[in-house]
Amino acid sequence: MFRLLKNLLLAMVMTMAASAPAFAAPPQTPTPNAYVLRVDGLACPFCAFGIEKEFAKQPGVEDTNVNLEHGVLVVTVKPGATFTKAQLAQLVKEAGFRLKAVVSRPTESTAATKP
Amino acid sequence: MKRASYWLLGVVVVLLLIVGIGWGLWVPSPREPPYQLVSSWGGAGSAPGQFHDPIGIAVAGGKVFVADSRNHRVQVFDRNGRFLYAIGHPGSGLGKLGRPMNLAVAHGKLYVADYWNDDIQVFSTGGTPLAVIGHRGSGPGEFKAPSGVAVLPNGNLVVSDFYNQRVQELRPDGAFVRQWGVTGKKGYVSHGMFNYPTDVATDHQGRIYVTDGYNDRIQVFDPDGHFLRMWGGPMGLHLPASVNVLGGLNGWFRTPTAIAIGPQGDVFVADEENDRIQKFTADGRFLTAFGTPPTGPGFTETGVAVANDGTVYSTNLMGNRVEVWKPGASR
Repeated sequence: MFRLLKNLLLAMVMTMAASAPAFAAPPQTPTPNAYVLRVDGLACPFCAFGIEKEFAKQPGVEDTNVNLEHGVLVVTVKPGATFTKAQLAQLVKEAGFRLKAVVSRPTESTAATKP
Repeated sequence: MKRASYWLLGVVVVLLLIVGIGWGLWVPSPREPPYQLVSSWGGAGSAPGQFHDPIGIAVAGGKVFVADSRNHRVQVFDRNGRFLYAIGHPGSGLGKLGRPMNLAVAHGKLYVADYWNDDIQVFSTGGTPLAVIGHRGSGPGEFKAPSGVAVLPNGNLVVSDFYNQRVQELRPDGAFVRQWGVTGKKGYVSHGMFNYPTDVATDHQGRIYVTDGYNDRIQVFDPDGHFLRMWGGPMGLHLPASVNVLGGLNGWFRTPTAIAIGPQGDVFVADEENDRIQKFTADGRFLTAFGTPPTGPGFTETGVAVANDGTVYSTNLMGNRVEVWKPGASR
């Protein structure tokens, strides 16, 4: 009886799990002149364009690229431009999202001074 | 031990009944066969006929208008996909486009919601710039990333004002009439509040349909502005994306990004994260779903438009192309 119930419950859980989206790991490789940020809630081009719009206004930002599938934002900066984690978190917040982690930062040679 | 088994069995039976009843109520079966993909055109790039993140789409007068968002233009095709001309140039100001999003065509004019320039650009359908409506801000008639636009039978505009968490109705010259939602305040459960509205559509009776993007639901208002209904998931209640693992069920959504009304009043929704278009009756009854599965990381069905003969046109975001769908054969 217990085995039957266990199998029933397992089947229900697996049915629900089958409907869940697959979560692939975001890219972890550091990019020489870019911040790689993991952002919560990135889902659609509206999110991508909104967050790109916010970063594009910042001096020192050369390009932004959102990977929706991995929830990752790559901010390419000009040589010498740097952002603190707090600054990055604030910009992400102003775009309506939450910074989960700074996955990687630009290497020392390109990030010498603040904008 | 035996008594415990019966007790547990009882709990499971009750749970199954609840799930079964809930499934019947909230997960409807298709009432129509899915539409069939009959053709597509495009490809990644910036040459005429190519796209870089196509978002909005509209069809009118034998032409298909596509917001080629990262290429800062609207491309115009005949209904067979032959490139005719492009509208708009990069930049801001009259006739300039930043990130064109969802579109509307009415009374010989093309309306473009420009997400980056915070305005609505108005062109003739031939491409002549006519007017710029609104500018960045949170006051009446101002926008923070307008995401969609529709035209009411009386000529007034309805605009989904994404970062202001509201939908505005404006006169054709941009004068404010009214709004739904509280400016800048997200709402998750109650109707009339929004969590990043992505698009709007109107029907011939003047009803207003809103894709309430991150609430994964559709809200409908009557011509006087009163709330009529909402759907998407159980009773249209918001389920945060992190737990909305069932959003792929029939009639549920994961980030609806565009909405269009068909010639019979049916409602077509681009259910982006589910890579499909869903079709409903005007009162929200699920009819069918169809779409192109992604071939890698990314999402497909993002914009949707319906021609007078019922042909559906969609934008495939990751595929950088337009897709053409016809009703499937009856069973």
